[in-house]
Amino acid sequence: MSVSGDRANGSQPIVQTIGLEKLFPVKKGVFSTVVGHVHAVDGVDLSVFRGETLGLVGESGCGKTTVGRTILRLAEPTGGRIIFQGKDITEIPQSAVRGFRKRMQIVFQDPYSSLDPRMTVERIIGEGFAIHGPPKGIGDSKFIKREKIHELIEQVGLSHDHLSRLPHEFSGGQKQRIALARALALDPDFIVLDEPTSALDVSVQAQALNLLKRLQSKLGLSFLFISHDLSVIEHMSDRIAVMYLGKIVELAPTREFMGNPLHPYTKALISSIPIPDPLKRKDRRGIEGEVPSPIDPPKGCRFHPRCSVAFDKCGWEGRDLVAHLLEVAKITNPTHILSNHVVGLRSDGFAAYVDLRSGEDVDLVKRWLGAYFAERKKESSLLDAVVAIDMFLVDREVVVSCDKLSLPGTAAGSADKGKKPPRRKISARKVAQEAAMLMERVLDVDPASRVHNMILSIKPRGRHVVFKVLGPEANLDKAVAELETRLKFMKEQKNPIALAVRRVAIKRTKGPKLELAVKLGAVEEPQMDDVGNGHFVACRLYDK
Amino acid sequence: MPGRKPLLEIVGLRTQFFLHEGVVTALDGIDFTVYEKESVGIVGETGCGKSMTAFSILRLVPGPGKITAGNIFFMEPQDVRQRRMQLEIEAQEWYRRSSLVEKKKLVALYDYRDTGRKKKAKKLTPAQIDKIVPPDRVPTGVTRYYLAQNAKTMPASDKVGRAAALFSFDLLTRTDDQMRSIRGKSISMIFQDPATALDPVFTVAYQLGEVISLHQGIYDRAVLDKKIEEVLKLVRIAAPVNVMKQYPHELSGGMKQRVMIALALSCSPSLLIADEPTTALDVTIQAQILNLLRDLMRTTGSSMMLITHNLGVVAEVCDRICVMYAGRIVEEAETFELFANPRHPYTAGLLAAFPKLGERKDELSVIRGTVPNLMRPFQGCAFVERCEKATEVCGEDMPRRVEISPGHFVSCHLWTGKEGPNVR
Ligand SMILES: Nc1ncnc2c1ncn2[C@@H]1O[C@H](COP(=O)(O)OP(=O)(O)OP(=O)(O)O)[C@@H](O)[C@H]1O
Ligand SMILES: Nc1ncnc2c1ncn2[C@@H]1O[C@H](COP(=O)(O)OP(=O)(O)O)[C@@H](O)[C@H]1O
Ligand code: SF4
Ligand code: SF4
Ligand SMILES: [Mg+2]
Ligand SMILES: [Mg+2]
Repeated sequence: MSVSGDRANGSQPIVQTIGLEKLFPVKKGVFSTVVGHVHAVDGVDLSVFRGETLGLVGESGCGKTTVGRTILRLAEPTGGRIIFQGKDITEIPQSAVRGFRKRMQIVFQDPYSSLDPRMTVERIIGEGFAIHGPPKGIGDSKFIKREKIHELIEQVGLSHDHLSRLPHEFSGGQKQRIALARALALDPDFIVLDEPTSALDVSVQAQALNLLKRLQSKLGLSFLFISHDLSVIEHMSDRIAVMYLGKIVELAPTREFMGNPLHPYTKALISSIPIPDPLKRKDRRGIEGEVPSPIDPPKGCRFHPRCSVAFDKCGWEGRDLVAHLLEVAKITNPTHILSNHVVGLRSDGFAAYVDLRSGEDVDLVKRWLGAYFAERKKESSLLDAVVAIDMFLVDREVVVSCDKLSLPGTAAGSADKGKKPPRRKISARKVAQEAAMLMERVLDVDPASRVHNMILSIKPRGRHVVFKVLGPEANLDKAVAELETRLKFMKEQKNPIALAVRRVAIKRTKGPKLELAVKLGAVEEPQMDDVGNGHFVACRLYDK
Repeated sequence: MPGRKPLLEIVGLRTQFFLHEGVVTALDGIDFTVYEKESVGIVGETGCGKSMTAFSILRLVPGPGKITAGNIFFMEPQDVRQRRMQLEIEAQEWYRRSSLVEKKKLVALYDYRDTGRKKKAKKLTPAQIDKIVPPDRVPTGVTRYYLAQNAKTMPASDKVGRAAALFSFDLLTRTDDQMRSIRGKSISMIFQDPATALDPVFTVAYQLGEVISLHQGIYDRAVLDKKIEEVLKLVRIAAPVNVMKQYPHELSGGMKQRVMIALALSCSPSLLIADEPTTALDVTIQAQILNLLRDLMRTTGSSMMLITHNLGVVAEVCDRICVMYAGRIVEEAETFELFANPRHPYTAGLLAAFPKLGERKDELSVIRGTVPNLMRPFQGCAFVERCEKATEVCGEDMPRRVEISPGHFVSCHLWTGKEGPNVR
């Protein structure tokens, strides 16, 4: 795989990330059970070269800040590599990171909270010397340190008599200058600027942007400039990278980027920006819809639910398959041979469900669908993605019944120390909700589990947890056995939720009723492709 | 703008905060007009008084703040407006002719309005009085004083009656109950922070239902639900029936803002005040919301006052723009005119400092310095410390508002006495 952003000339990047990944666990409920992950940064390849500004633009929550923080190891990456000046710093201990942090700095978005309100400006700027020792080339004497601080405060356009003041006496723009002086104190080579001007007024923003540019050319700094404002990014950057839901989707030198934007998201982003010129006023259609949740990003191209030119290779979900079966295959049309057997269709996530009239139809419908998918899979990548057609027993469930629970209280909440904290009471309903999350996790994280592929859903219902089971009758018994062994193990571990489980049983309702579940497999994500001129784009439209 | 009917006319509005440390003059004599079926943009940097303008119109100025001078005429019939304007001119004329004693009385009255405390008239020279009450700025106190004076000296009771009639369209003379029914029904507002404006403990349907039944007297559940669904569809919410049952925290920022707009438009107000309706949103969502607002204004025929710090947003949406600086309106013009011929040094500086997409420059031009402290009263132009073109007179005299071409107003000494050829 090509590392996107590598230049043709042999110049070495000062910072490089390869497949950088940062997942945040999503916790829920009383016991903070992990139910999923926020894919904040999900495989990012970027390089920043010496003396350049790489602009990183994207909507809020797409992971820009997290990229900046993980590069500096202020957040620990969960995958990928970070290379700083040729050295892999992904796994070096935090004590060693501190040495590198002299040469890498960050300026945060919010000038109001990033400075300690009790410290004078002089102490704020000098703080770095105390932690890291004085910068290269200067001795340790107080006098020289003072000189250096004076030089820094002048560099950012403030004066010496500001040094004895406290942060609250400064305006937003001045605070941002102080933060910049602090970042410059140790003569860094590389600075992450995370929305450095987003909290500033236009007139003050212009001053700050000019200052950054001047300092960069004077001191030979490299910047990763993060912003949600493409106009500011264009003004500042040599190259621009666009981020969407944790991934880089386009990267190009600024001139090429503005003149020839390729990715549909980039185009939409550019056309959404209001232009301060009424003569260029136009009806901006922009993009429909909103950014999906980064907890469960869309499969395939992450942008496909909002993309106006998406086609069938881009990504799919259960509802796309339902639409295909209804509109292309037309299996419910009266003339179709399946129409007598199929009652209806529905979708949930990456599966489409075919509701059958009677249990005897199973084989017929399954065979027909299997043949249909096999025959058409060359024409449509959607149909190619079908991985399994399973029977699904609508009327049979495995039910886990729960009891209420009473736990020793935590000391933190109680006011008087002498007394024993009151016990925490948790209703059976709540226990069932917790148990559902717990079991989902337990069965999900372990693909080796025998039931992994046959359990369709786990949902709380009142004081019970209901498991929907796929496949033949025998699967029910397997599921019960599996659940019982797991619960037994957890009870031995004194897991409070497991202790509150009363029994595991198979429950049957009305007459036999069946559905077929058509499951879709993973879709390949578009990768960054080199389209020439240092321009990279991750979109199926530009597949070679 | 001949032929167009004014909907809201603000004259000499002043709003101040009385703090321990001193008096903050958030609005310092604002004049502007919103006509029917137009959208007016109010732009300016943080703290210049944009939100305070909105809060003052709705009489929702918080805390130690008070409206201390001015008038806000709303839905004033054309003939009343003409009579009032006539009176203003007479009052001005009268002021010019009046004796020093009378002027002193006026200053006392003016001080009273300013601080809420009655002061004794100090010994002042005519020049000092003229400085405090610049004769060419028609302070509204003058009209009131003139009317009171006339009522006393000429006991023609219809004069008093006429005065009362003239001022009855002033929102500042309304009772609190009257204001409550105006808010939401005739004038509604979308707040800067959508999170605080929606009540977190009630569903969307409940909050919309409350407003609709209050102002329109619909209490039948089924009819109300139908109406709510219609309003949500109007703001292009894809699944209105689902959204109705949801709580604000379950909605994304863009959806919340749509609900806010639905709430504001549910009673077809004549004026919608939108305070930074898109500042908290992403650009792609901002574009959706701006399109929506523009389309809605076109179809409902309401007027809109759009408050923002983003010059791009006003250029996209507004017919006319007022530029604010330090509690004053420094320039006002139609959108095309303002962007083509920005006359006030601040407006020009703001336009140049804004990085424009596709027009990369090495250096952005800047406005030096920062916004001034509003605690300090300005004798002259509030922009003087940052202005490249300032002269001596700028620090001493408040620049007068002049109309340099039809509909284009500027308050700057560079333009005083340069009224356009077609004006007046
Ligand atoms: N409660 C208050 N007490 C004292 N001063 C206040 C108060 N509220 C507002 N002000 C002052 O009034 C002035 C105008 O405030 P306003 O909220 O109208 O600004 P704005 O133009 O809306 O700014 P922004 O773009 O930040 O919303 C400011 O200088 C502010 O400091
Ligand atoms: N400490 C954290 N814990 C959990 N989730 C987080 C944390 N920090 C960021 N996230 C999530 O990661 C995603 C990306 O966040 P961020 O990098 O701050 O985005 P941006 O800077 O582009 O606005 C968001 O969905 C955010 O909610
Ligand atoms: S791959 Fe390209 S065309 Fe397909 S959905 Fe994504 S952005 Fe759109
Ligand atoms: S009045 Fe004077 S200081 Fe104010 S903007 Fe005009 S030239 Fe500048
Ligand atoms: Mg961020
Ligand atoms: Mg405001």
